[in-house]
Order: sequence, then C-alpha cells, then structure tokens
Amino acid sequence: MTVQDIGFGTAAAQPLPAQKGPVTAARQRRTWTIYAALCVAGLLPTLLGASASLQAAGIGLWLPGAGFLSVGGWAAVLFPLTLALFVFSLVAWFWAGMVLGPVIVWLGSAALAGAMAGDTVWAGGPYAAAFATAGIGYAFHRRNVRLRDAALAKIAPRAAFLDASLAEVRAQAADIPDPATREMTPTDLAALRYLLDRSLQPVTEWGGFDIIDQFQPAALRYQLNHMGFALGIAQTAYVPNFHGYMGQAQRNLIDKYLLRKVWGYWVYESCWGHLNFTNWDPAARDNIMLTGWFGMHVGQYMLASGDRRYLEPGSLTFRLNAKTAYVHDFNTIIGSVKTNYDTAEFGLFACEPNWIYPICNHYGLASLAVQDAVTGSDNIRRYAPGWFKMLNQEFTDEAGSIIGLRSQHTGMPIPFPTGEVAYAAFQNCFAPGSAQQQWAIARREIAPAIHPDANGKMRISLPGKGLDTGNYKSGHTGAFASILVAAKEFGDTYVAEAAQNSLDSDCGLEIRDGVRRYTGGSNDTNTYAILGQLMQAGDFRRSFTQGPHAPSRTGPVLEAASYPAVLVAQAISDGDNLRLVLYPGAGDGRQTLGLERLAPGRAYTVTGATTDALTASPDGKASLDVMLSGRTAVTVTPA
Amino acid sequence: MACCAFAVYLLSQLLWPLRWLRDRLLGAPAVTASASVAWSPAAASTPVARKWRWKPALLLLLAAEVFGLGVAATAASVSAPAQPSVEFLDALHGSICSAVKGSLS
Repeated sequence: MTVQDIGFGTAAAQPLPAQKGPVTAARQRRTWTIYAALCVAGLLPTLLGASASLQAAGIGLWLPGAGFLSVGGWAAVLFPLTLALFVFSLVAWFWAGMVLGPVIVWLGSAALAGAMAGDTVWAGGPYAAAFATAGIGYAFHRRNVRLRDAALAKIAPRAAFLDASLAEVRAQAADIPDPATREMTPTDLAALRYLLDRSLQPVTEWGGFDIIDQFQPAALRYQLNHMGFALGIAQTAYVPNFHGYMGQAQRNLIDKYLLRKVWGYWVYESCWGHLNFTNWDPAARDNIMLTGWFGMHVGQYMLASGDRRYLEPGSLTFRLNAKTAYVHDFNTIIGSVKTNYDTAEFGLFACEPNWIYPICNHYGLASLAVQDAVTGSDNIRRYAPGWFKMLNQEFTDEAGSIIGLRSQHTGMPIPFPTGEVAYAAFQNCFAPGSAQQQWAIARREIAPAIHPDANGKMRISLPGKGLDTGNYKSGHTGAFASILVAAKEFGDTYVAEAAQNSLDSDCGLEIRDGVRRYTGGSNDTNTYAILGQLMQAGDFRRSFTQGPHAPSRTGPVLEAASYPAVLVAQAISDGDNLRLVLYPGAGDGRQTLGLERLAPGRAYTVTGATTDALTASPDGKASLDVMLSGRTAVTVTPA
Repeated sequence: MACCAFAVYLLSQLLWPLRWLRDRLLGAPAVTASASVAWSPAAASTPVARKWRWKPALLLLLAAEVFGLGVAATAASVSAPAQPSVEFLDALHGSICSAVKGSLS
C-alpha cells in the first residue's frame, strides 16, 4: 500500500455511509450510563424521605442547577442562571481543557442547593426538574436530527459531482511549476517582508504579534507555526540557495517557540485538565496542538535548509525555570506524537485534555511525514492506515465530512468550524488521493459563492461577518486565506484568483514601506494569506515531504546579504552554479553579498555584478558587490 | 466565601447578555485596523497586547458579586441555624476553592 492509496479518495469516489464508530459508541454508552446512575442516585433521597438538603442536592444531580427548583421560592431563579453558567463552564473546558469547570458547576450547584434548602423542599421541584431535563434532552435530540438530516442531504449532490470534480482536480494538481525557474514577484516579496520584519527582531521581542490568550487559536504558537510554514515554503520553492537572514528568521521563530510565554499554557492545562501538578512536559501526554504543529514546523525548516541542528539532543529544550527544563529535540517531539498514537483509543489524540481535533491530528500525521523525509523513517507506512481507519470510523459524519471536534471522555461530537478546505492541504502531505477528494468536494461547494464583482473580477462572497480566529474579531480574512491555500495547493487558479481578489478587496489591503498586509485581519490570518500567495501547485506537500529541488541542495549558496536592503526573489542552483534575482529593499545602491559552498579554489564567471569573475577561497567562500536597481539578476557559473 | 470559581463563571455569564444588548442597542463596535498587523520595525518594539479597558469595571462587579454571595451565605446560615449549611459551606470552600488556588499557584 502506498501513501496515495490510503484514504477514501482513491478508486470510485463515494461519500462514506452514516456510521458511529465502536469507540465512540462505547464512550457514549458509558456517558449515558453514568448520567442514568446520577439520576437514580439523585432521586433516592426524595423516594426515601431523606432530609430536605439531601433531596435538593439529589435533584441537582439531574441537571445543573435543578436542585434550586426543589429549594423553591426565589432560589428557583438560580436554575436558569446555573444552566447558563454550566454552558459557560463547558466553553472553559473546551477553551482551555478545564475539565474541572463543568464538574465544579454541576456538583457545586447541587451542593449549594442542598445548603440553601430549609426544613422542607418545594413538592413540585422534582416534577419541574424532570420536565426541564426532558425538555432540554428533547431540544438536543431535535438539533441532532436536524444536523443529521442536513448531512444526509449533502450525499446526493456530492455523489453527483464528485467524479467529475475529482477528475478536474487531478488534472489541475498535476500542473506543477518548474523548480529551476521559480522567482518571487515584487508583490510576493512585499508579502514576505511582513514575515521577515517580525521574525528578524530579537527573539524575546513580539512586535507585530497578537497577544491575547495562549490557549485557543489566537495563541502565539499558531502565529509562529504559520509564519514558519510560509517562510519554509518560500525557502523551498524560491530561494533554496539563500541561507543568510532567511535561515535566521526561521530559527528565530523556533527559538521564540521555546520561550515559556508560548508553551506555558500547558502548565495550567496539565493541572486543571490532567490533574497533574508535577510534570508539565509539553511533549508528553496529549498536546498535539504543540507537538504536531511544532514538529511540522521544525522538520520543514530542516528539510528546506539542510540544517540538521534540531536533531541534536537538547536542541529543542522547553525551560520552565532555572531548575526545571524539558529536554527535547526534533525526534523526541515527533516521538511524543507517535507514543500518543500508539495508545490512542480513538486512533487520534487530544489537544487540550479531552478534546480531540481531527485538524490538529492532520498536523500530527503530517509531522510524521516530515520526519520520514528528514530522517528516512517509516512513519507513514506504519501509522497512516490505522489513522485513516479510525478517522473514517470515529470522526466522519453522515455526509462523509470529518467531524470537527469530539470529546474524548464523553464521546460526544461538538460543532467546530473546520471543513474540507482546511483538511485538504494537510492531507496532501501524506495521502494525496484522499486530499484531492477533499478539495474536489470543497471547490464545488464553494462555487455558488463565487461571482464577478463590479469590475468583472471573480470574487467570493461569504455569509455573515465571519470570524478571525487570530484575534476573535469579525472578518473573513482567515476564510479567504484558507481557501486560497487549498486552491493553490491543488492548482485551482479559478478559485485561487477569486480568493485573492476577495482578500485584496475586503480585508484592508495596505502596502506601506514596501510591506504588504491586510489591516482588517489578525497577524495569524495575514500569515496564512501570505502562505497562500506564495504557493503554487503542490508547494505545501513538497515543502514538508521533499524539500528543495535536488540539484540545489549541493550547489553554492548566498550566505550573507543585508535585510531589508537586499531582497532575494530567486536563489537557485543546478548543483554547480548560483542564479540570483535581487531587488533593492531600501533604495538603489551598491551591496555586498557573501557566497559559500563554492568549489574551493575554483574560478567562476559572474554576470550582473560589479565584477565578471571571482575565485573561491580554500574554504569555498567569496564575496561579490552588486549595484541593485530594480530587478537585478546575478549568475555565478564555473569558468 | 464559597466557590470563587463559581462566582467568576456566574459573573462572566452575566456579562454576555449585556454585551448582546449593547450590540443590539448601540451597534457593534466598528472594526478597526489591527495594531499588530500595522506594526513595523520602525515602530516602538513593545508587544501589542490587548488592552482590557473594562478591567476596573470587571473588578468592581466581581467584588460586588463576591460580597453578595457572602451576604447570601450569611443570611442562609442565620435563618436556618439547624441546617449543616455553615459547616458544609466551610468544607466546600476548603476542598474546592483551596484546591483550585493551590493548583494555580
């Protein structure tokens, strides 16, 4: 079985049938059994004529706050308030893995009701509580039926378009760019500068980052990962033979990631989610939102640059304080992903304690693919078949779509806005056939939202105000950027142009001091938009699984150039020569370049510089002056 | 007294309807350009952190809520001396709130 054969996007494309996986079913049975036991236990004090306090507390076990109904009088007002509070505690559980939250609210409100009860309870309390419980249960049942019907309604249209759409996707995805001629445009460079400005500042400085919370999507770790992804793609596709500040920028992001400010959230989540008050190693149990993402990030850098420093033991150490540090490297980070997969009952494992996000598990499996590419390991062959089996079995809805989020402890699915668009590019790293099917569905379901604007340019109109997950404000920057990334990855120029036009027209495009940005978006969604802008067909997959064009890996490199004075749009080698395309970033003028990895002592002819020949030093180095003015092409070729 | 976390949750939940009302009556706040995105190296290099302008108001509300809970708990213990509520609340406070605080410190 090859990677391409894994998943459901291979032979006859058909959505999956409705199903509930055995692990999910068992976990849900357990949840309902516990709840039934709570109800019985809660009813016993009433049946046995126990004290009023015990009766009220018992009824409180049926539903959060229901005990206040038994207390009666004004205390009954606390019932809806407690229900609302319980919903909020569920959000806290979801938000930060605070497992204790709902437990405290539910049991705490029952205890409080018991404490508030007088000598007697209101006789109607149990009936009112039973009525409320049944009503809420019925409302959830109706909602689930509606969602299931909506999912079932997608099957027929999907089945009708899938084969034709998949054929188009396969044709478009096959049109990959020539790696020997790729060059960033001035627009690409202006976007890249947004990333370089932020990554080249000192490691402990955070100018240009959104700092809100470190638990959910606006967290610094996601901004760092996405910035790293975009720089890694630029390095792989356009400038594999430029190290210098390009490599420094990527290493700075990795160094920032190791600061406690970024990963310290795990201390809290370990305490209130795992009840673990001693070992807060972020790459141990769960936390695929760190290990999977960071593993991809670091592996992509090593693949793009050839730099293998993060394979060294201790190279990725998370320091908690002067006394405690969690010592890791690339292989131990990925090792954590594999260890968790080895023991995951659902086949996928959790981000925050309890919450399993299939999207983060796509990052996780992609990180195993990166390790295969960097070290020659055999992860994908070993892990992907079982992973896909469990994904299809436990995390797929009636329409064949991947469920966004499932509770590990209860087995319940939770609505979470992740669709085929988000999964497609990541799946392309380890299962291109399945990934193409994801995109084949997504592009057709996006199509009705694409239409010409007043100037005849195609654009996408999305409903509502949208949500920017990078700062929790409204806006469609993230949605347009995600569509752009997926469309570019599969070579779908029609959808990609519509997404790019929508970004440019709706998201506050500003070009200032040579830097391109969307002021209506967050730092994270800007980063994702840049990632999409830089990409062409297959770039995402190649940057994580193959690295740069093979001849460039041994050829000469541009090692020294000043930023932002020298902007590098192309740095490519055929193994012997070096071809550069440079632009001035701080005005026209003379600049000095440092070259390395030349053949020691060899003579080279030069074009586009102030000299037409150079000779490499015994350690393969040389320097070169160029007059930058607009697009400046420089070649260094063995004489 | 009892259940610091409970009070914080309750208070936070009470803020949601107020926010909903504000958006309905006064309109949602206009979307402004992101300060972090507008940042450039030439600008001040301080981190762009969210400004919690409502923090003083939140602290006042929190204090009022905790005070209210204390009054309610005291009233309950005075009005029903035969009930084990005081001991129970003490035990509840000791076992839950102290544990939560301990885990956070």
